[in-house]
Amino acid sequence: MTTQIIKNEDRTTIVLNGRLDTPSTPDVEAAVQPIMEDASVKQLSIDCTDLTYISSSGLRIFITLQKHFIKTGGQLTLCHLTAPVQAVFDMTGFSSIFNIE
Amino acid sequence: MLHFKSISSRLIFYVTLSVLAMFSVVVGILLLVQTLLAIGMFTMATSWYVDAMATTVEKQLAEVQTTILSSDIKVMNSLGTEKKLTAVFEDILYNNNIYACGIALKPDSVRGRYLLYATRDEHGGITVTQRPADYCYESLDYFRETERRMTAYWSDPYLDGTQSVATFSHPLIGHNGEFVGVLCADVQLDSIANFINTAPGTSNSTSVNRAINMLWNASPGMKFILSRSGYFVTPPDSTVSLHDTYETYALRHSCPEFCRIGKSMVSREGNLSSFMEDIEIEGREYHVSFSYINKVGWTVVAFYPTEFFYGFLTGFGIAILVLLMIGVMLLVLIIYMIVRRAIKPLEKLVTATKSISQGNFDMDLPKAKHRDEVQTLRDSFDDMRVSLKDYVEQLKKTTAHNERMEQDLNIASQIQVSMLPKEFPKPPETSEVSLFAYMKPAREVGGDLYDYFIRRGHLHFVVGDVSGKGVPAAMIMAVTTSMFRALQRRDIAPDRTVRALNNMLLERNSVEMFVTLVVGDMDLATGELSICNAGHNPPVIIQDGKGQILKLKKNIPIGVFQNYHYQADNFTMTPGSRLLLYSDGVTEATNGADALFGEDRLLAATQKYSRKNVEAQINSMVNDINAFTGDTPQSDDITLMLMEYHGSHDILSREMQFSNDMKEVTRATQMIEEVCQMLNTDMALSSSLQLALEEAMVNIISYAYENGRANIDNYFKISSDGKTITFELSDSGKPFDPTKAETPDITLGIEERGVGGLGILLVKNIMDSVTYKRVNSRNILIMRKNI
Repeated sequence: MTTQIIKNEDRTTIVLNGRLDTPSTPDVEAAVQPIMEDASVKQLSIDCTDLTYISSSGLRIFITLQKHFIKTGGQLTLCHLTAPVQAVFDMTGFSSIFNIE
Repeated sequence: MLHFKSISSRLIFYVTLSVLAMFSVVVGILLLVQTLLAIGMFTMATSWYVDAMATTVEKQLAEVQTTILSSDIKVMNSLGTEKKLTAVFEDILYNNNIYACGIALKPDSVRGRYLLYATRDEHGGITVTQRPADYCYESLDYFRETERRMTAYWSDPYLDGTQSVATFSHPLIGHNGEFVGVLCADVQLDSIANFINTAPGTSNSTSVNRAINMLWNASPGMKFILSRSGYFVTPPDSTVSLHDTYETYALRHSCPEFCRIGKSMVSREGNLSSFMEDIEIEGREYHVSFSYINKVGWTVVAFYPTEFFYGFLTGFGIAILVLLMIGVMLLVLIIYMIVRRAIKPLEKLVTATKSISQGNFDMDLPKAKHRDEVQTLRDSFDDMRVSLKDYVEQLKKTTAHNERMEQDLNIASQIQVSMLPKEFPKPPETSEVSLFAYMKPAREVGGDLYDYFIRRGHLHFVVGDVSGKGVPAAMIMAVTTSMFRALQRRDIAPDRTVRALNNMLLERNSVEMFVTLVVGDMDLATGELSICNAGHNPPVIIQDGKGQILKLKKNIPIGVFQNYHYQADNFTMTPGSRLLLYSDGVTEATNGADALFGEDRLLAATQKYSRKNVEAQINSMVNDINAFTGDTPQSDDITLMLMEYHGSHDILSREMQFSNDMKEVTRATQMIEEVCQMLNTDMALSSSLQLALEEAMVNIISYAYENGRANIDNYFKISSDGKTITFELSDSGKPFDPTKAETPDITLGIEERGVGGLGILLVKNIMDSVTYKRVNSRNILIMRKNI
């Protein structure tokens, strides 16, 4: 599981690669923590092209980020969800909570 | 039968009855004698009375007679001289009884017709009258009768003017014996009547007469004098005139009895005693007494009413009865008081003993005043009280002790029952095997044991019998069962388990009890069975409906020799075959005729019910055993365990043990990925199965053990029969049923959404069935997904 953060001028992108399962969640959490501390980040995209698996603990990171951006007036967009990940979002009702492209 | 509530009333009743009876007899005799005496005295007294009257009257009449007779000469000498005659008359009238006197001379005598008479007036003066010469008296009765008789006689009473009188006529006889005339004296009958009706004369005033007078005056009867012709000289009452006779009186009063008596008396005939009896006139009873006045031929009669006399007797009787009653009442009172006095200490004793009977053993018994029977009774009671007190004290202690023992035994029984598994594996939860067991101890607690559990695809089981019965056997049973469980966790083969059990038991068994048992381990995937028999009854195997005793290597019971080398047998159960384990309480169950149930009956029952499911077969066999023994008490514990191997349909099976560490999740999901590749399922299914397992497993790792206590006693098994994939997660953590946990509402907005409960939601969404059970202190979660 790798987490790559690409900062552009107006938009920051997190690229998740691999399986976001329970054992790997703490690492990802730690990796995305600076973004929430950085007030300049207003537009965040999470690229899920290579995210093959997500569990409920992984979803917690997404929820935390979404709540943060609603609070700061920023925007979180998820892009390129793979079928398994999309299925999890559908099952948990998260499809309607998140802005998915 | 009379029923008395107290001794006093019974005593009073019987004593009073006896006294009353005796008194009655005595009083009766007394009354009878007294009555007879009284009647005699009464009769005698009335006779005396009448005799006295008769005597008195007779005396008067005699005086009259004497006066007249003595005047005879004087009259004869005075004839012709009126002055002399008057003097004689005055002499005659000197006799107060004579009311008048006179002479009548025969007309042809010396003086010719001559009649002179003198009467006494009311002032005592004497009037002498001479009748004129033409007064023809010679035709009168008294003159003719006297001339005819030539003796003196008393006339019947007659009325002279207003006076009723009787006349005494005396013939005057000349010197030649010729009739000269009549000298007569009149007696006033009224004075006699008065006399008769008042008293029998002062001269006879005896105490008896006074008593009779008293009687008479209190209830007067009738007294009268009858003349010799039956006329009333003195009347019995005012209705009677001088012309009445007893016959007319009897007619008037319709009393023929009176007539009969009158006739007898007047004629001086008949048996005198015949009218000594009482007669009744106009409803009144009289006692009749009479006496003769012979000089005149009169009869003095007295009719005494008996009612007064008998009334007097009755009164006397009543008085005696009243006295008797008062006496009896006094007697009752006295008896009552005596009995009360005698019984009082007894009553006090009764009150005290009642109190004792209610358990008040400290009650002091009342002291009796005298050293009598009551005191002896009291002392006996006191001894009894002390003995009872000690006895009850002892009994209380014993009872309390027994109750404690019983309670303990009940608790022990409950503990023992709770040690035995009560849930048995059967399809669909356990598809490979069905098992059922039954145990009935002969007493509260038993020495038989059975246990089973399924772990990592293996069925472990034991059936055993501790030598002896009761609490010691039960304790060894508990120790053996616990040791069996502890040992089997280490996944060692049955022979080694038995060896370890043997050594452990010998180390800790100071009472030298031994245990026979059969320990088995069946691989559910293959039906391979490893079984070790330590001196126990050989199991029965049932294949194709036929049962036979399983020939196993013989080992000695455990708890006999240290380090004994127990050996196990290995064979494979074919699908559909059954294995029966039992204790000797089954084959040695005894009926009323001392016959044993035995192996033959056991085999027969085993075959007979082999088509039923294992639970039904065990129940039917138990019924057969009960029907065989009937009312004979169960002498030994009865245990039966039956299992059927259904065979495994799995084409693939993997199992792993995991600790409560998150890293274990990766190992498990990799195992699923591998299995899915082998089964050629698509990636999406593999991914979602991994997700479901991860969520369930994370749940266990995070929450099953408090404070993150390290634990490796968790298993995950994945198996598939080609159509479904089955996950089985087993942990020994705290009880938790995820199927009952609440799932979050997924329609809520982001602000309201938490992250809890999502895992279980995902599991339920992904898997086709999720079941939970708690077996042998383990959480077992079985999840299935159709491929």
